[in-house]
Amino acid sequence: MTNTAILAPPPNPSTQRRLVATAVDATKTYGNRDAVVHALDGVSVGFEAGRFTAMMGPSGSGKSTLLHCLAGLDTLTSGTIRIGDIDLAGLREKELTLLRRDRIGFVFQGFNLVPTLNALENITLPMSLARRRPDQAWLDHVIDTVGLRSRLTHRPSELSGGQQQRVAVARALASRPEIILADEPTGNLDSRAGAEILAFLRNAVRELGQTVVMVTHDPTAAAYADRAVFLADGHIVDDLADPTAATVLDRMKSFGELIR
Amino acid sequence: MIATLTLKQLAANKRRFVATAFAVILGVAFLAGTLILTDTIRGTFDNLLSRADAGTAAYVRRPSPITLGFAKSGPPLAAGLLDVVRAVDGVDQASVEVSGYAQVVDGHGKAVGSLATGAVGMNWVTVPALNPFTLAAGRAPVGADEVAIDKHSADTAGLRVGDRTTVLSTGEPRPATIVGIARFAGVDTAGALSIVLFDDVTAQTVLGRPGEVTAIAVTARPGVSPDTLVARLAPVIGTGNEVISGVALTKEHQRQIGKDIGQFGTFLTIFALVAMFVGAFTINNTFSIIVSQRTKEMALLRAVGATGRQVRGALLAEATATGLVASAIGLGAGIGVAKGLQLLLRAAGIDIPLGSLVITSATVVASLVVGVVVTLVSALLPARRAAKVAPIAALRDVAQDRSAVSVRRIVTGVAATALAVATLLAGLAAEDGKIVGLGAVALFLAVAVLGPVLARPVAAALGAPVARQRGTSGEIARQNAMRNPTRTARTASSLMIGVALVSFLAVFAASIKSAGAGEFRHDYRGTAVVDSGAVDGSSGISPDLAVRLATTPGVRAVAEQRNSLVEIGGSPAVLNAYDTSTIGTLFDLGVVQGALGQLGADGIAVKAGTGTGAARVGDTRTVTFPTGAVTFTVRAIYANATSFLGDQFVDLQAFAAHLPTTVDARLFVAADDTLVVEHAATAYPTAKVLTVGAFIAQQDGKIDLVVALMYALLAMAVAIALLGIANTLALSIHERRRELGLLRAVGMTRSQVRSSVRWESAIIALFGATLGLAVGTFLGWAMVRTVATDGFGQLVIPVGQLVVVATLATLAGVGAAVMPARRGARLDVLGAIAVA
Repeated sequence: MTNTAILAPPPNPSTQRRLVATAVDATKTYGNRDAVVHALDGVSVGFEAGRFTAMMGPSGSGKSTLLHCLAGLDTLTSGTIRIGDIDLAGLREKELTLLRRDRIGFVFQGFNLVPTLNALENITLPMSLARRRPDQAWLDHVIDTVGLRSRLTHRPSELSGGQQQRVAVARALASRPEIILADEPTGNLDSRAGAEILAFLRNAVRELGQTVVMVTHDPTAAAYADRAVFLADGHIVDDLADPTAATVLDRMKSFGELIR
Repeated sequence: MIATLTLKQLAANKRRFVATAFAVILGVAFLAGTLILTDTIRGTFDNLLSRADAGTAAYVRRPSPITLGFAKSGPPLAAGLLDVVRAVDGVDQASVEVSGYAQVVDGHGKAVGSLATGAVGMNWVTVPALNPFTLAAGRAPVGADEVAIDKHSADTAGLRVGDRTTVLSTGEPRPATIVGIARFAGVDTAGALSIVLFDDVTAQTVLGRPGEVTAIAVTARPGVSPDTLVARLAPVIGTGNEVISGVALTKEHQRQIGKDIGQFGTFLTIFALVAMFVGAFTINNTFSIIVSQRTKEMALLRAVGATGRQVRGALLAEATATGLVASAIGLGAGIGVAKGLQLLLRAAGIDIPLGSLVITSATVVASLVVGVVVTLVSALLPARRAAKVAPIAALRDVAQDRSAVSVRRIVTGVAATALAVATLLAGLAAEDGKIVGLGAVALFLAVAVLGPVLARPVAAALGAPVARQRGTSGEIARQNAMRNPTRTARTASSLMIGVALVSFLAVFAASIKSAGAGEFRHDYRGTAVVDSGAVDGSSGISPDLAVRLATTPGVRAVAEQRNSLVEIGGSPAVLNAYDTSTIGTLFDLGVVQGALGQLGADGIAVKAGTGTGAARVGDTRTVTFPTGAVTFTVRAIYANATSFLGDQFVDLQAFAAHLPTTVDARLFVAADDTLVVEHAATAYPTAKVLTVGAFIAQQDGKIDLVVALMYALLAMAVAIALLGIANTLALSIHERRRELGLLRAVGMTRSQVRSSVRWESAIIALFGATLGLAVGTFLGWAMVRTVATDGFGQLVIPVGQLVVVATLATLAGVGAAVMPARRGARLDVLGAIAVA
């Protein structure tokens, strides 16, 4: 199929990089025999260490489902997801939870923070849940990078939307996860605050060496990434290196025609 | 339209309905159970009594100037009157009735029956139409050494026809043979009384005095109406006597029994109302949470044109429907509760044989009305809040309700608390139970108003060690307990009431036990107490024991105590009589005026500063005995005296002059060796020889039994409170599902979620328990202060017991959280995060 043809070999010069997360023939179906809906239809994709990938596609394309499956929040009907060398299918519920806690960082579109905890407590939440002390030097570095030093004792309700998302990004970075998964992190923000968050995510990759996979449908957001993977109807339909807003928009238009 | 919406709401939110309904169901079930049990007992007795008196056309007796309870005999009648009665035209048959105190002894030397429930001796009426008893085995007693006993006693004591026994009564214990086993009006027992039956002459000798009877019962010739008979008898029976019809007698018996049952029913109903009161808090809390969770929906209704009144109406309609359905279910469950209460009472030693359950229309109406009204009243404030929801709220994100600590709330709460405390203290000072109850209810409400002010700081403090110990789960639990102080306080309030009542009882019981023991040890000069457990003078220990003890070597002094039901100043009381020649050597009475030795037959000793103003030697006091009023002269005033002696007492001579027969309730004894007393008392099975320590322990035991029964009855209120906690947690978790989803997504394990919910519950429960302990201890203090006497009434706080209460309440709170915690842990993470 064309999908696989596009994928292998990946159109990327740095093929030598380690794969932090992989999906092989990932399939997710809903419904019964009479009305089967394929949210993911045999998707195979790898995410390399130290890169910022945007996953794009229209609503119902399967991009969020893939992200949830990568996070161990959702399970595949068939196929394999690996985080590092761990096959998620072999994990029990508790092991999945610990995997999310110790090896994955999360940024959601909204409602990212526990309202009863202050900014610092939210940032260190995964480590506190593990009853582990955070690496203080790293934590300071992260806090200064996202510029939250003066807001640490504030509750989420006392922070602006942009500040809340910065706390969420800081939380995702603080435990030095293997991969950060972001689900439309700028969806609820104005363009200025959104740009700030995207810059932070890019810095996390460029300067702190993190790996980020971000779901978005905003071409401007995708332009911050090193790579854009396009999904439609549960398939990967394109994979673009060093996307710009213009190239992404261009692709989206052509898929729009393709699908409709 | 609004009505349709209400029904659709109820149908669509069954869990919400169940949550609200549970408190109503439990409360109504308890209330209905109480009413059903009371009516059933009343029905059983009414039935029994009308059958027992069925053959009696007229009844001749000497009326008592004071109101006597059932089976308590008034002044005696001359036996010779029987011949006069028999000669009256229209009288078919007539028989004397004799009653008094008698008990038999079982094979192990134990007295059969209990002096607390009543032990009665009667004559076997030889006229079958007038005899409520029928023989189940053997034959009627004839002669001085034959008795028949009731079947219930025979069965429980393992006595059979032909067995030799000993009869205990006012005289020396006497040997007898059981020749018959009898049933009363077709049942095995006449309401837990133990009964010994003698022939007419023996009954007079054993129970009273020869030639004296209690009454004469008469049957009418065919064609002669009871009223005609009564009219013909009246002129011939002599002055001071009266004759009433058999129907009137039955009515009187039913009224007497009904009064006791009514008091018992009131006692139970108070606990049912406490349960409803606690239930009201739970219902109010549930509705409040529902209103805050449905703010958007209500705002939408308002936005599309519903008026505030309509929104409020819809909620109140929902409350009414919930209340009605739940009350109906509760009424059904009440039958089970009635059975359960019967078992509980049996466990406490009150065994009542019951006919089929009586469910009156009054019970149905009361249960439904109380259930619906309580639900409706509890929903009133939340409904008002719902009506105030602005249409614009439909478009806004719903803000958390944090409006807990306002100046208005603090001012209202403090003022209400002050008012409640003042009412309570005034009620206690006036010894008016209703005002005390009102004050207590007001205090609970006032503390509930103040609760939200306290919830945040107290939950923060109580949760601090949890957060330290349990890390993030603990901290999240603590924060959740603090985040909505109004909700936390409302949830804790219902538990607060239960714990307050339990700890009040604990404090009060400990204080009066300590005061009683302290007074007794301080004032008592004897070495032992011989106690019968009898309370009202109708049964007890034969006075012969006192005579025997007085001449027993090694016994230095004996003082008898007898009681009689009397009326003083129009209200019923128990008057004690003592051997005043010895009581002064056995008790340090602290006589301040006059002398005990001078009481005689018409003197009375009065405690200093009791009654109307300070008494002085030479004052007079009128006491009405069952036989008539007697005016006593105050001849001694004493200052010490434990509560066992009472506020006034007379000499035994006074009782001898005014009461036909008497038995001793207690003997106070000073002896070189208690064994000597025990040896002398072996022939008197009702006489329990107790050392001072054992006597105090026995008194404590009586208090403990009552307190234990009250704890058991409070259990229902506590159960409702715990259900309320479970309910609130379930609703809170539903409300916080996004947050829980987030926590689970970033790595909180299921066991951490469960632990967090359980700790939140523990903090809320401990908050409620802490408030309850504070209120309960205060109530205990107020009560103790009122009854305090002689400097022995200081407050005793049973710290260990209160710690146990708080611990149990907290553990129960954790138990209540089990289901909500499980639900929280099983939450579908993706679904929760996706909720918009």
